[in-house]
Amino acid sequence: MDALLAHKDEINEQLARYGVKFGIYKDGNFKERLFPFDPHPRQIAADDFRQLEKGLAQRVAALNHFLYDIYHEKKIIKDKIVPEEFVYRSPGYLAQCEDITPPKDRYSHISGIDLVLGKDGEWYVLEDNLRIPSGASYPLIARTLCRRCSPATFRQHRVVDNRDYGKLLKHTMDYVNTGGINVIFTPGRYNAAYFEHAYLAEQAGAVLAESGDLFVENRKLYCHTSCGATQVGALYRRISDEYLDPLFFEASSLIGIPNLMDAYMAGNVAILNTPGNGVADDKGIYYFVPRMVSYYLGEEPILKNAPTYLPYFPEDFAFVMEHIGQLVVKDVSEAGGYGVIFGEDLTKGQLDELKAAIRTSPRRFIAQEVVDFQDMPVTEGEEIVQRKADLRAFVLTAEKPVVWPSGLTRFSRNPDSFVVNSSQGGGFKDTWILCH
Amino acid sequence: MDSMPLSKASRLFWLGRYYERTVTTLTYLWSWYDKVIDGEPPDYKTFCKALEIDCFYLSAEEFLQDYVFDSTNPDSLRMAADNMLGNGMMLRETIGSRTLSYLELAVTAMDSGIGSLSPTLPLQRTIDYILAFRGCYDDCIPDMEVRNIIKCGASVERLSLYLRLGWRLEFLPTEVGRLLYRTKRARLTPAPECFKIIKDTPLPLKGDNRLTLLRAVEAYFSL
Repeated sequence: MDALLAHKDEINEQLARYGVKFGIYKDGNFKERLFPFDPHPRQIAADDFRQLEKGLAQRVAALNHFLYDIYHEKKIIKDKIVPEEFVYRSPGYLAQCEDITPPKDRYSHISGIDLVLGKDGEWYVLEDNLRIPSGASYPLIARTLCRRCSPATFRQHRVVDNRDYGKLLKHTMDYVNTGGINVIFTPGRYNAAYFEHAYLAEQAGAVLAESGDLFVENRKLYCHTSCGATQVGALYRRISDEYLDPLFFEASSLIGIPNLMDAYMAGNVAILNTPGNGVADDKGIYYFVPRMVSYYLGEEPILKNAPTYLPYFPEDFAFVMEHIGQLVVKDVSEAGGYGVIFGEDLTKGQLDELKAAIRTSPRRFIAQEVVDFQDMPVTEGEEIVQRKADLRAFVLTAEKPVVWPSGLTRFSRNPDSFVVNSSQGGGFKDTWILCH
Repeated sequence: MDSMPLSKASRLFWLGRYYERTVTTLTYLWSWYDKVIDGEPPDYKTFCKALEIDCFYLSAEEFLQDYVFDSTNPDSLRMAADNMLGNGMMLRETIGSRTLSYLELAVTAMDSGIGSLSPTLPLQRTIDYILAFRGCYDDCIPDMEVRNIIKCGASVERLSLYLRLGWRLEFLPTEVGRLLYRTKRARLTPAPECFKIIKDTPLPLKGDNRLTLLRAVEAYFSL
């Protein structure tokens, strides 16, 4: 490992050379910056990964069942496993998607599951991301560049190769493709994850297109190309549901494709991930995912959630009010590390304000016990320091859920922070799945 | 060419224009850095007039710093380099990460020259990386049309600079020949009246033909 650490500067030079950047909006201005990389990898032993893999595949399978059910028969609501308020009041639930069946019944083709490794050695799921989870491109390119900078490291350590993500993505798109080319649909260069959109298009051999390149005619999606209008069979969209189709969702959207949903409803194009998935990765619905596993699959959930309380339930409400100073409270409508409040950081007055907000809209919040997750070594200048880190695992679902043998490990650069999001200044590491 | 969105053709063309603007203008300005050492201020006002850009610089030194390196000046070379990289970034899946990496290196090298006492050293690296980019795309992009659209942009920009600056006019026949050849290989449709002027203008140039040819070159493609 020392050989790899000794090449930290060269690796970062390579990352700069390949434009491995992340965009952030600050004070209304878009700025691109290099995504800070730390060469200490997260290492997961083969046996541990096998268990994690089973748990992730199980969870994503259950979430796909849930999405199908919610937009069709709603058995899980009728059977009172999930209260209907949590479904219909979720901002991710789209009534317009009722009774639409996506190609091959797949809803979440590319799922990003955020986990932390507790000090007790258990993995805990913190969040499911079933809409447009970002991040696979970073460990993907980092592995290639680390191998180039320190070949000795990879001769000494037997690490499962992660460089087939492009093929895996292509297969996932091909599986649901209804006839036509594969397109990655980006909002454009000034999107935070533009590097990823372009890099994945290159890796998966897909066409990278913006809204002006795409149009719908006779309920089919086409791309204006040099060969004329070319039909699109699979669209990996990297824009939010509400902006996808101005005639169906947000009318003011300038980055969407008019009538896209019409083509989709006619079964003439697959959209990855399917619009309406937000209902399943809602922070409130998260609480019910272990129950979904038992309900749909008849299995015991392999992965645990972080201990979570829903103020919506009277008994949980009482607990949250009493222990708010030790809990982390999350606003279910926020993402990217925003709306995460640690009770221990608040003054008495602020705690009272938060309690009042929860009392007014209990459905808007969840509260979790602070998982004491393991620190990871991070190089800072000449020093090695310990920082909090999570793992975003990627599960791609074609015939069945397949867990990519790698993942994005994000770390906090602030010694006192549990927030690891790249939009909040965090860095990233490669994730090694060991062969033994 | 396989299913390339039409917007890509425009980006490829402008990628060619911006890289050529950066590298050719730097080459043109190269001797100016030497001249200022001996107190021979180069005529930057005439240069600005020829390029039809604002001339608010108070001295040759200020011109060589701001015109070359200032990323907030819309006329600067740094801005041209930024546009070169921006177009390249939006073409990653078409030109490839390896080819694109030379543009990243060129811009990074340029930025390392800001405020430098020896600015020609990083600028030399910028030129080297752009030339490496040129070799790399020619070698690595299998699609002939893609390569030739970029080259059409480069030809238009080079001709425009030569004509505006009255520089290297002896190369005009070669450059015009290249542009016409590349247009055919890129399968682009030029403006017919411009095509006729470019094809029929006698070279070497005589009289007022330079301005006519310049306008025809700059309006040749509507991309």
